[in-house]
Amino acid sequence: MKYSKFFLPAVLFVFLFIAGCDSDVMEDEEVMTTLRLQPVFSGQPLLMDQTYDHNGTAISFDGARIYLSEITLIAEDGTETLIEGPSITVPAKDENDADVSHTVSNRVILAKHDHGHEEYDLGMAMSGSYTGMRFKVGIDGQDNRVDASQVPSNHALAKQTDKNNHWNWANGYIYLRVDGLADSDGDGTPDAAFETHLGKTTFLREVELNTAFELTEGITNQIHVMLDYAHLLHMVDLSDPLQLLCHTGDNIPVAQKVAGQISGAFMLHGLHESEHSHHD
Amino acid sequence: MLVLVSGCELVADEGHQLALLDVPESFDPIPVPSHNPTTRAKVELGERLFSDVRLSEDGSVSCASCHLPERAFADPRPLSIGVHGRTGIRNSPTLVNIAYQNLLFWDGGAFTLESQALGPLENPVEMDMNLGALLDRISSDASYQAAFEDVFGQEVNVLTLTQALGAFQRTIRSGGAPIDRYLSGQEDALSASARRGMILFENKADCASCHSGFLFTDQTYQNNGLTFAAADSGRARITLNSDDFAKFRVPTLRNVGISAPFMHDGRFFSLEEVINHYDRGGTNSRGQSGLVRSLQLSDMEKADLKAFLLSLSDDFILSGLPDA
Repeated sequence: MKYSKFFLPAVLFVFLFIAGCDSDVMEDEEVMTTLRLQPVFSGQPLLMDQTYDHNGTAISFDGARIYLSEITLIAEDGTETLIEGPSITVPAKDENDADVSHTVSNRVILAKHDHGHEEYDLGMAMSGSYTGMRFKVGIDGQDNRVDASQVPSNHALAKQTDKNNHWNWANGYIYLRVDGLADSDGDGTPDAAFETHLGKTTFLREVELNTAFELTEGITNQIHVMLDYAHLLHMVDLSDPLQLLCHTGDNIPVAQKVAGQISGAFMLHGLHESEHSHHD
Repeated sequence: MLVLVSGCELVADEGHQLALLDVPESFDPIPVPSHNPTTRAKVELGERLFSDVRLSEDGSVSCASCHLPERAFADPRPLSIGVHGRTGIRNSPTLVNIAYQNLLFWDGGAFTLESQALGPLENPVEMDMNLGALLDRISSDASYQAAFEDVFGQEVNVLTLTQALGAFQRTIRSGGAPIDRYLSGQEDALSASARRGMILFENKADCASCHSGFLFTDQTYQNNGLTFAAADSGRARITLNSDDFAKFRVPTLRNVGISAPFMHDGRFFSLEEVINHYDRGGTNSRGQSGLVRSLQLSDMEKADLKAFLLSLSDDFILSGLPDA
């Protein structure tokens, strides 16, 4: 009688212990995941108060922002996980410009590098081995046709009140915007404003980073991706006055140059344990 | 503000959706989005904002500066002038019956009345406001604070600001022109000349191919054969499609009698200039619509066409709420 009282709990303990050691069961655990999108310029940290050499032209930055969406993790077995975000339902126009109500459910990140924000929540993801990740730079399809003025202010698609993230006059989000000064007279001091604003579906780009990483239980997993703004602007001659201003539609040649550099500007640096606060 | 009151009754209960935004029977009901119902208090707040110069960077320009109520909410200047005297590249179009407009601006660049409001607010050559600074400015006014709290139950923000402006602009409407009375059976509402002009409008001059429906626009985008300015690519700026180069929204013809100048850049100051442009068949500019062709109108036909166009102007325009 004395032994039988502990028999069932003991059997359960042994079963759970064995199950806990089974690797298949471990991979089913959900773990906290973040994305660190670190801005750099030719490998150096991108800072707003610093002058950089860009193909022989001195430049400085006062704005650096980029949208990532449809972030997908690619597991070793080929399974793909689309990261979901807070769901919002807002007014929008469909492809025929009819009024519709549209739900945005995928995780959208507006990386504000000019505010020093680098790390963003991706929520829960399955632990295990991954071969890489994929995301879009910009906002695709119906998500890009929502009425930004009616998006709740805590969502990445909300109209920003400091720097414009949406073209009020052109129905869509600014996928990336880089603002600053470029040296116009060769004295080494940036003095002429440049604005590189990219948007429109034509210039939406998908990026796939095929670098293996492991999401581990017990920690907040930080996927570390670097974004090199020097690479983004590499093909743009900022000493040429005709290339200083690009709001996409008004300077298609520059927009094409920047869009062509997007996929090569990102590098998956590795996976770390997160220690930072996260931004939305 | 009620510029003039129509004979119809406007039903408006405080805090509730306006049961009726009155329009003539020949008009479709005014579309009101479910997320921004029209209420008396919201319209009043929107009207106040519409006329407030504090919405511009230097406090010199309000929405009403370029959309004058007495000019059918259009701008008599060819190109609108913003803060610090900066000149834009387009003429401010009429806002009358703007609620029916599917897309806004001359190139269809804005989706809704709500989002449209942000365009001029942030445009450096219009009101040039940083949105954060604007919200601070509005919220520092106790009366605005109370009004936003009363209408929305929350402080001013992008969503509430644009909803108030949108709600007011939805009330800017008309439909009391001689043509409306004529179409409802009052035959003497149009002169003989205007009646001849109406036949020309629909046949020989073929204006009705684009200027159709109760708003006298099919809401398409057309290249009407103007000599173009390279600085303004029109609809192509939005679509990035070269086929849309120099296309602009077909404007409503309602109130053309009081909303000169005409065209997207206000280049024509009179209806005679407009009629002569189309009579010549445009300028054969790049991408000109095939609908614009030489018309061979006589002087009398031109006068008749003008008489008809003038019959599209309202005797009164409604905006805001009726007087108590």
